[in-house]
Amino acid sequence: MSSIVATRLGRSRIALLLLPLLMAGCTGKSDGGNASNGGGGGGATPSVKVDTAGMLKTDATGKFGGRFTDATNAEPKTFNFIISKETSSSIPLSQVFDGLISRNPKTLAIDPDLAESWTTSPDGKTWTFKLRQGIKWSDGQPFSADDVVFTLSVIFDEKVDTTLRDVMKINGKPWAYKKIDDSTVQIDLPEPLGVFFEVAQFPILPKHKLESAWKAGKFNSTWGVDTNPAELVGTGPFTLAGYRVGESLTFKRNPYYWRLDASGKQLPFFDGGVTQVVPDLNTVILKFKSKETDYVALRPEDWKGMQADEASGGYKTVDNGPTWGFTYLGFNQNARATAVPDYKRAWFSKKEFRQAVSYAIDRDAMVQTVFRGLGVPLWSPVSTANTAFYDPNVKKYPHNPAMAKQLLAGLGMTDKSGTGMLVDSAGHPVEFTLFAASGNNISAAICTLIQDNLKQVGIKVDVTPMQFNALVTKINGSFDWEAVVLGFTGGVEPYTGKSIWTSPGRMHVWNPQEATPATPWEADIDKIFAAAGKETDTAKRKVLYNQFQEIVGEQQPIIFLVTAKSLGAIRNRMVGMKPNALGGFRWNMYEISAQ
Amino acid sequence: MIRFLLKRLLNMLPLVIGISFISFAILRLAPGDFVTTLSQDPNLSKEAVAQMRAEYGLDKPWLVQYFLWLFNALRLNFGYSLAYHIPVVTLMMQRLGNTLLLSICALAFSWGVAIPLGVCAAVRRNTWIDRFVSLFAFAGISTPGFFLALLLLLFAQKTGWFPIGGMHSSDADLMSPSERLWDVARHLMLPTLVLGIGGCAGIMRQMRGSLLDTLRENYITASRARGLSERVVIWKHGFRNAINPLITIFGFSLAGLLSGAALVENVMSWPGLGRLILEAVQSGDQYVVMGSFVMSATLLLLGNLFSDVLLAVTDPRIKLGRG
Amino acid sequence: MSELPAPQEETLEGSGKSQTPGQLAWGQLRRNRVAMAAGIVVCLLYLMAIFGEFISPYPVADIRPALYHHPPTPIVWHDAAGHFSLQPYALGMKKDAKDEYVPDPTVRAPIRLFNTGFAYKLLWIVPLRIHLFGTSGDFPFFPLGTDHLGRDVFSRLVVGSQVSLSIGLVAIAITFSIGLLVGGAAGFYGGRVDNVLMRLCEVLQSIPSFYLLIALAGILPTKIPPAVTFLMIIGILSFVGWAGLARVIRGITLSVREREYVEAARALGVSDFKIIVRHLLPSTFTIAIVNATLAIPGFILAEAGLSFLGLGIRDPVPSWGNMLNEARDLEVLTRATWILAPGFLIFITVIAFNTLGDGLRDALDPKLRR
Repeated sequence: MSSIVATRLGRSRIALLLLPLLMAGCTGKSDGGNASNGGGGGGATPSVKVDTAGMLKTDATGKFGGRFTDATNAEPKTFNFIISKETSSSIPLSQVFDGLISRNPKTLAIDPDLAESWTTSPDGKTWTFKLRQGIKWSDGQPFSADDVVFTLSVIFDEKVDTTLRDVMKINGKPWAYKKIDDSTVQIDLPEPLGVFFEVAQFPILPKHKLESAWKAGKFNSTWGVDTNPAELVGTGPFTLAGYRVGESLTFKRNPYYWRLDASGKQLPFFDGGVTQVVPDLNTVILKFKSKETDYVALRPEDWKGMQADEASGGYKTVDNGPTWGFTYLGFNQNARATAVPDYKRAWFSKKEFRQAVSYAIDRDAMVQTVFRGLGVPLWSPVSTANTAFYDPNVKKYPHNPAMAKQLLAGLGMTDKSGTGMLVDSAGHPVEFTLFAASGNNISAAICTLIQDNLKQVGIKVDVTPMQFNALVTKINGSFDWEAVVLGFTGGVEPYTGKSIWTSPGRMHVWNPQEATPATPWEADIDKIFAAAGKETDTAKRKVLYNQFQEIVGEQQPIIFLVTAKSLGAIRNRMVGMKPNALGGFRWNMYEISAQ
Repeated sequence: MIRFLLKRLLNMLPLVIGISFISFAILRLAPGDFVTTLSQDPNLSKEAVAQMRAEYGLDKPWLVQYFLWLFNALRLNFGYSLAYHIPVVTLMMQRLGNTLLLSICALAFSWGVAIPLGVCAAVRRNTWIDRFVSLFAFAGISTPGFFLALLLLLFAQKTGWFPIGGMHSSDADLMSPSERLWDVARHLMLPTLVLGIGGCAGIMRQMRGSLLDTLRENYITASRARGLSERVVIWKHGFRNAINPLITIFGFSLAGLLSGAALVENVMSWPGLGRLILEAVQSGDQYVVMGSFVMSATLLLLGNLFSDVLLAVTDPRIKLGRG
Repeated sequence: MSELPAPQEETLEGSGKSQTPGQLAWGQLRRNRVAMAAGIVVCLLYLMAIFGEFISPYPVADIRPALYHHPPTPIVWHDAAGHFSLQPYALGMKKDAKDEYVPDPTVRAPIRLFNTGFAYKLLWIVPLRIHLFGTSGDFPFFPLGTDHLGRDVFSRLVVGSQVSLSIGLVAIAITFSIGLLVGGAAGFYGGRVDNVLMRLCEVLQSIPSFYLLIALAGILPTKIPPAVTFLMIIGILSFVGWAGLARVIRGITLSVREREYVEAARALGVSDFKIIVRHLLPSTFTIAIVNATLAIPGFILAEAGLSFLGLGIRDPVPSWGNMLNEARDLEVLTRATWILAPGFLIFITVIAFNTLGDGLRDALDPKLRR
């Protein structure tokens, strides 16, 4: 039984008229059922006649047919996109479902997906989306505004176990939304949200498949990993053809997919593909080397070896530039942290101390040692790859131990005993404990380097690795920590990091959930974020974000360290891949093909 | 014997309940829970995190959580997985077969190779066979499982003779049933080798040591003096007495059948229970973890019972239950 | 094995001198050349541990980030002109066009015995600066290469043996004492005692050690000194380890206790404890020794696993186990194979202990007297 069948590509009548009959190979007449999944063009009789009238024509070109193989490092926990909370589920599911809009990781522009166009009211609170016409779900049922309204109802239902709701609520208030007609949806926000596009990328699920489960209160356990894949109806380029538990996901082409290639034929180019579940990084690379997968993400230490074998291995290595996250060193400035001695908290609360530590750290050496040179030092929470909002004028702290010592001396911390280690004006030796998540080699290496760097300026650092949950409990719960090295992932709009940067934020690492801002600069950041939240003009938002980055650069509430580059290798047969650090490798699978 | 069996089987239920209680207590003693990792998402508000905790029942005191779980478990309802949102039993059943397959093959390999090798080494003590086999055993004991797994995978990649992990090839759906069977067999080979060699080394040394001891006994010399053939002496008299500690060890091995070898499953992408449980433990998916505790405790008790019975059967000197 | 009667003044063979069982055993052992060799290896290992810092050229915490994964320094026995010399030289290394390390014959430094190096305390008391060998100044001399932070693998290996060899030994001592006694008692008494003890073992074996460790890691204050951490690790490892051994011992004991000499001992009124320890347990020695050597690498590597939970020996203190954690990566294994040195030493330790154990068991067994 072959479940991967090369469906005959639907052809619009218009396209037929345009194509010379000679060119198409085996087109035109129906061939009778001819199930094959290799080669291009050879196909079976279309059991569906698809009208490509309303579909989006792209400029993608490529050969039709073939299958892709790739790997993911964890198995999906659910097939219900709204319930899912982990990338192991959302990455495969994003092949099967679309949203109204999406952020193009390459251009950073907002691409219309299921929504063709939109308008907004002058006050920025009402958004009207015009949906693409004539789109069908993968089971042939028509897509309409009903599905959008249904999806929103599910998301905002307090009984549904989803994190999307909290992300999409504005200051705790849900959206209002209504169907204007079959292809128009109106969304009324409780307050204007400048970064509306960040939160409007939610996936749309089919009402006709899920409404009864939702009404019966069973939505949370619907479409789990024990579901028959045929039930998963979506609008994406592929549908799930099969799932081998814990092992592999098999995809097949969605015959109703709404994107067309440059010549008007329905995408995707691939007939289908397999995503294997491979938890171990070493194994993934071995699989790529033995030609079992089409592309692989690499770690910095693999780069040299992989580059050396490019010619013999039939692949090209790619350097996607720095990743969009950051690692940081944070100090506890929380007055409620009773476990930390007052005098230490006093040090940590002084800007000069933090700046001194920032100058003492040798980020270039860190990049060399930890990332084999394949990384970048960081000065801002906004990634340098974020061409939309990165502020190049943010203050930088190049390695300068002399400056560090000077700043510390200004605080009264000097080497009174001649041992090389500093003592503050009250006689306390300048030392602190640095926590890091255990079991993470990169973290451990970074901490050891920080320890060494600070020893050079006279500060003694005691590195304590800790199991992740225990660490989080100490940081968020008991505030029993002095310094910590952790990281955050980053997105395009800095506003989405509100919880980290505004003083009442839960993830405001150095002083979480403040009742009132403890310092004037924190109050400034609060004001900036409040303004950015309402600001719909991107240029004005950029000005605000620049101000934010400059404050953070000067004050160093958390000290930004380094990040690795996003690296990979792609097999030569793959055409049309546009890998980048934000979107990964497969974000445009619909237009990728094989030679 | 029957009375002994019945008594032990009756003892099992309270014992498993007791073990589950202690395990749950320790589990909840560890800081954090399933929501802790999720709470690291900066987009979630405090209220959302609290709401999630309440939804999953994680805000109740741990004793309450335990008894709720126990009442359901006694009716064979082991709860839902917090990560997968499907019943724990369904989740585990999906992977049970895979782990069982691998474990049985590994068990057969390690015991099948170790026992004869051990006997051989003991009988030909201090000859080159003994030294070679012992050296191999020492190397096997000193090498951690994942190293062996990595090395074998590297070997597979360089030679192309074996697939690189997994249980099926990516085009398994297009194969005929017999082709698929052979496909799974090919994928089984390396993981079996890794797990088998790991177990083999220890068992081989135990067998050798135990048999050496037995062969020094007076009755062995007496049997030889009586003119019995060497083969009868070794197998009928020596082996049967020497097997005692190995039976006990075999009892434990049964318990390990379903817990799987998580690290090897991870490196070789084998879709088994071991990996599932490891992930559940790391993420705090506590009902899956409790399900696995109950399962391994039951298997341990059953395995020990089995080896006790086998001990009594093979060695008539042993009288179970008697003081 | 029943006790030998006290030695008479004259032996039957007229050899003149009588010997205690201990002397008999020692003589037997001396004649077993393989076991003696193993014994010497064990002694060398422990000497290496005790004199760790004397033997190592660099402090274990010294990082040289620029020299990560430097291969073992080539040692040559000829001088710059190419003539043979008794003085060994260490060659420098530089990076070639492919960014790989190659020997650089133009840069060399003499390797001296009893070199002056970093300050340390011999036997933790005597402050010294003399090391067994090394190069003067800052010349990079890495007999076994460096790790990912540029630390000398040889020095860390030697000092790491302090932790690993003692963890192995102490954990086994504790596990075995408890395991042997409990197993012996369970087998000897049988009935209710056996039932209770074995069920206790089963409960202990079922306790989730991973969670126990995380719970401990979460509860304990973070500022505990490393010595206490060390003791705690050993305690945890032993607590988790003895139940399995107890079951195996119990199985053997159940069988042995029906023997005639045990009945005889009981009839003679020998105390239960003495029967267990002096009559029953010796039958279990073989299995105990085999188990011990099986357990040693287990304990050493388990300590490394603990470091994933933030509980093991912490950087920069080395142990063979946590040094091997770096080698969990194919890149490292294929390009920096010297990182596997601790694994090789574990292998040697296992062989040495086991062979010595075998020899000891043979020596103590009167049936094998020659």
